[in-house]
Amino acid sequence: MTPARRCALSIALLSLPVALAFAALFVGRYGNGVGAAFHSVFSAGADETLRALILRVRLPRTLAALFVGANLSVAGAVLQGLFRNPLVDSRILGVSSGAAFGACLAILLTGSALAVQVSAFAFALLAVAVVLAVGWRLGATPLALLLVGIAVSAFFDALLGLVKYVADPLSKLPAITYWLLGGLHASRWSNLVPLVAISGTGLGILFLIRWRLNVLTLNDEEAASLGVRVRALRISVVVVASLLVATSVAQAGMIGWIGLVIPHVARAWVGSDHVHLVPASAALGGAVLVVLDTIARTALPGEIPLGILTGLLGVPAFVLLLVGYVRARGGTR
Amino acid sequence: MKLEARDLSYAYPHGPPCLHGVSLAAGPEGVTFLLGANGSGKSTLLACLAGTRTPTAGDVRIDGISLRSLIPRERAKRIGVVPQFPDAAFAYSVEDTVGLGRAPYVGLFSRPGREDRRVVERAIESVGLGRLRHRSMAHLSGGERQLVWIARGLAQGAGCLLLDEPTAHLDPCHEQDVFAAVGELAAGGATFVVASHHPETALLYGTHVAFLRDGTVVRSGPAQEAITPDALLEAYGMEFAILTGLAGERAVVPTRTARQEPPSVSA
Repeated sequence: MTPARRCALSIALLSLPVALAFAALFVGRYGNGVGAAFHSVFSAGADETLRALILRVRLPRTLAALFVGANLSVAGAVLQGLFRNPLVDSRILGVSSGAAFGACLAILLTGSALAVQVSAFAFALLAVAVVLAVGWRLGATPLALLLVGIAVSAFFDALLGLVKYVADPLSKLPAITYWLLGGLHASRWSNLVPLVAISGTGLGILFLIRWRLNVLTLNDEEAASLGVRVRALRISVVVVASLLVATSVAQAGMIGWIGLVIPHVARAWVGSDHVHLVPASAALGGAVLVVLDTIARTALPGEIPLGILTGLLGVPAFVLLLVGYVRARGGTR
Repeated sequence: MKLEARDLSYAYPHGPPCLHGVSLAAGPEGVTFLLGANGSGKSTLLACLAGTRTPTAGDVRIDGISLRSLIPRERAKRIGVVPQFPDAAFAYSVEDTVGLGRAPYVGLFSRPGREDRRVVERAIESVGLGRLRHRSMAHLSGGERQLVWIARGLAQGAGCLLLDEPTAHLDPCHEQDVFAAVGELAAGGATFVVASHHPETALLYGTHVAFLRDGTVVRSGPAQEAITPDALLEAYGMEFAILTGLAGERAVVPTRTARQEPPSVSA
C-alpha cells in the first residue's frame, strides 16, 4: 500500500468511531426516533427527559464502549505482535480470568457495584503479577509468558467455578452469570473516571512507543542486536496492555473476540506496521463496540448481554478470517 | 572499525562449552570469512562478537573498546547483525523492515525521521531493491528477503557488520551483487565478518578467513593464502581441490573422496 493511500485510510478509520459514537447517542428505544432525539439535545425547550437520558446515560455509556473497544483491540494487537502469534488475544495473560474471579467474588460477598469494579481490577493485576513474576524467572521469553498465562488463567477459572458453586442459586448465581456475559449498562459518569484515566494513559503510552513495538516482533537475539533491551520493553508493554484489559473487564465484564478479531481486520487494512496498526485497532475496536452496544440496548425490549453479541458476530468473523488466511497460504500446513 | 576477540570462551547454560580460547581480529576494513562445518561454533562466535551473548571468558573489543562497557544502543551503532533465519511474525513492507535498522538512533517515544528515511532509502537502493520498496516481505523470494535483511544491517549504520550465511538462498549472480555491495562498503572502511558454509565464496569475496573446528580457530590468515587443501581438510574432514583457471582465477572444488575424521587438534 502506498503511503498516500494509507494516510487516507487512516483518516477515514479515525473518523469512523467519532461519527458512529455521535450517531449512537440519538438511537434508542425511548423517544420518537432519531430526529426527536437530535432536536432534544440541540433545541431549547424540547423533551427534557430525552435530553437528560442522552447526556447522562447514553453519552457515558457510548464513551465507555469507545474506550473498552479500543482497549481490548489495541491490547490484542500489541500482544499478538509481542508474542509473535496471531492467535493470541487480550485474555491470554490471565488478566480476564483474574478480573472475572475478582468481580464474582465481590458479587458473592457484597454485591456493591463499586466493590465489584475494584475487586475485578485488583485480581486482574494480581493475575498478571503472578504471570510476570514466574515468567521473569523463566527468562521472560514469549513462550514462557504464554504458558504461565494459560496456567494462571486456568487457575482463576477454577476459583471462579468455586465461587459459582457456593453462590446462592436464587440471588447471587444469576447476578454472577449476568455479569460474566458482559455489558455496559452500568456505565455512568460517576464510575467512568478509572476507565477513562487508565485507558487514556495506557493507549497514549502504546501510541507513543508504537514504532518500537515493531522491534519486539523480531526474535530476541535480533531485537537485542538492534540495541533494544528486549526483556524490559516486553515486560513494560505487557503491564500496560494488562492495565487496559483489566480496566475494561472491570467496567464491562467479559467481552470476548474483540481483542482477537479486530487486530486482524486492522492488519488486513493498514498492514502489520504498529505505527498504523495501533491507531487503526483503537479506532476499529471503538467503532465496533459502539455499534454492538447500540444493538445490545435497542434490538430487543430487554438488554442483550454484550458478550453474547460479540461472540455471535465475532465467531463467524473469525472463521471467515481463518478461511481467508488458509486460502492465502494454500493449505493448513 | 577493528573487531577483536581475545581468548573467547562460551558455553550455553547447562550445556558443554562450544567456544574455547578463540582469538580473532577483523578489520579495520575487509571481509573476514568464518569457515567450518555445521556445529563448529560459527553462529555462537558471531553472537559473542555481536554482544548479544556474553562470553563466559575473554573479551570482544571494537576499536579497542570492550563490548562489556558499551550500553546496548551504543553497541548497536557500531556492530550490526544479519541473522541466519531472521523472521518476523507478521509481514512488514521492505521499507518498514529495513527501517527497523534505525532502532539504535530512534528514541523510545519517537519514530524514524526524515534523515532516518534517507538512510533507509540509500540502504535499499544499495542492495538493488528500490523497485520493491513498498512490497510486503511475504511476497518476496528467499533471496530478495536476504537482501532486505542485509539492507537493514546497512541502515543500522554500523561500521562492523556480522553476516550469518547471508547468501544461503541466493543464486550466484545475486550472491555476486551482495558481495559487490559488501566489497564496496569494506573498501570504504567498514568491517565485515561473514559466517559461511562455502569456502569457494570465501576465496572469491573474502580478504581474510578463519577456520573453526569444535569451537576453536584452527587456522586463519589472508584468504588467498590460508584457503588451502590442507586447511580445508582440517576444518571439514574432506578433500578439496583448488583449481586455477586460464586467467589465473582460483576456485575451491570438493572432490569425491570419502569423508574422513579430521586430524586431531593438538591440545
